[in-house]
Amino acid sequence: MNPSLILHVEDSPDDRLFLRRAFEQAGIQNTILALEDGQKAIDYLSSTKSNDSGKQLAMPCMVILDLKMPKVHGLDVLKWIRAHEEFKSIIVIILSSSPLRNDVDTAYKIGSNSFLVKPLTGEQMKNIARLIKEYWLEHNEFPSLAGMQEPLKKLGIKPPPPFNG
Amino acid sequence: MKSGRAHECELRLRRHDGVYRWHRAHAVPELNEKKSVKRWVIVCIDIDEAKKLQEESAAMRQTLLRAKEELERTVAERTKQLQQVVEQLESFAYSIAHDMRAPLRSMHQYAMMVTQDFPGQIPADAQLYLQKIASAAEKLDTLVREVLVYTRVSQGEMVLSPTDLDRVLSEVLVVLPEVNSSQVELKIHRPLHTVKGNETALIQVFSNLLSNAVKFMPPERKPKIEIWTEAKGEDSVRIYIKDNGIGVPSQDREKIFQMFERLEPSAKYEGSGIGLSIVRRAIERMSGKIGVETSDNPGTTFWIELKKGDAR
Repeated sequence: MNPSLILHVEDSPDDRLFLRRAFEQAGIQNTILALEDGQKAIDYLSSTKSNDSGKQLAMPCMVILDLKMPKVHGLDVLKWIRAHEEFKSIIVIILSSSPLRNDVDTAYKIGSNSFLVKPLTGEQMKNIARLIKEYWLEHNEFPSLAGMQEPLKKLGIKPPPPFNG
Repeated sequence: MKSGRAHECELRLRRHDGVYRWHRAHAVPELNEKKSVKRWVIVCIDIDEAKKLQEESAAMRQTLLRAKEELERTVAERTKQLQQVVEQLESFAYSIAHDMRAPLRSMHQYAMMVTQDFPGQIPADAQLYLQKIASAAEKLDTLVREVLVYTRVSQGEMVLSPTDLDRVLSEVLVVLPEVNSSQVELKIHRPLHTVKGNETALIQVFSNLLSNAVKFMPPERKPKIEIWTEAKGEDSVRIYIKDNGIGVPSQDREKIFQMFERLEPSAKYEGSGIGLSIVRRAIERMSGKIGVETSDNPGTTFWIELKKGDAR
């Protein structure tokens, strides 16, 4: 089981590493599951529903979504998420390379909760991670989602082993 | 006829050699006491040459008109093609700039990761080289971001509406601590005119101009910036931004608006050489004009001309 799981959908291995590192440095203890394209995110979320095979995956409390990805574009993942009743209220944060006006406007229109631009430096990324921790993970109240458990800190569960890459 | 008024007509008459030629006939009736025509006095003038010339010139005018229309059509077509090429180039620049940011991120962060993750294991000069990689990446990233701003200003939709310059300036000052500081003497002659513009683009324009004003300043001088507006003609407004910085030599007044042009070595004054190109592009897209005044006094005065807020 993965209480307070965060999905990170990102095709660049570098950016996956940078986010993981920054989250760690900011003291975020949630489990981060990295998925390398939009289709994998859709597949994962589809498996969080109870199904006959009995392989029900943990519902994430938050999805961090890149936009320019192979197979399924981030905005299409977001559209898919909002089109499904059980994911309508899941927190989705876009983390894109550039604030293209059209992308920003579309993202909010189809239900993004936030739009962030990937910063250049690790220091800036750490800062963003710190803000995500303070705002989204500490102050913010999460909506109830089937299959999602209370965030770790509230339950006092031992955090997952630290990242070692 | 009874009024005794002259009559006039053009007609083809046979000449003595049997050739029909155009004539103009003037006929004046001569009346008797009973006010009826006693006789006609008629003068016929051969106007055949003039008539031919007239016809030729009418035909020529037609040809000319057709040629003009043809030319206008061609110009419109070529302009459209050229605009498409420019748009393609700009979107190409956008994609390249966008895609350059990812490797820069990696360059910077890996370089810094080496210094952070292996403390005490890296010789001092290697540490310095890593630092240089990171700052080179930072420099290029700044450049790339400005190219992105330029293409965004060029390509995005530019909706014009009455815009309050006071509001624009207060927004700009929030993001420019280097201008909004006790070290800078900033005088805004209020009230400022309302102009017809795009607020986002104007914020970009003023933020570039004001940060230039304090940037291009001899280190020992206290920056002074003055901003005022004047009505210009029936429906325009001129905005003036005056500083006491290093100034622009009059022969370089056009050069400063061109992309990647720098008058000063970058070691002396930081910058990418895109700032003023962004300003000019934004002003052009708001159907305005921009220029710079130079004088013997130190400093530069930029002016921007835009339509009045209530102009049609």
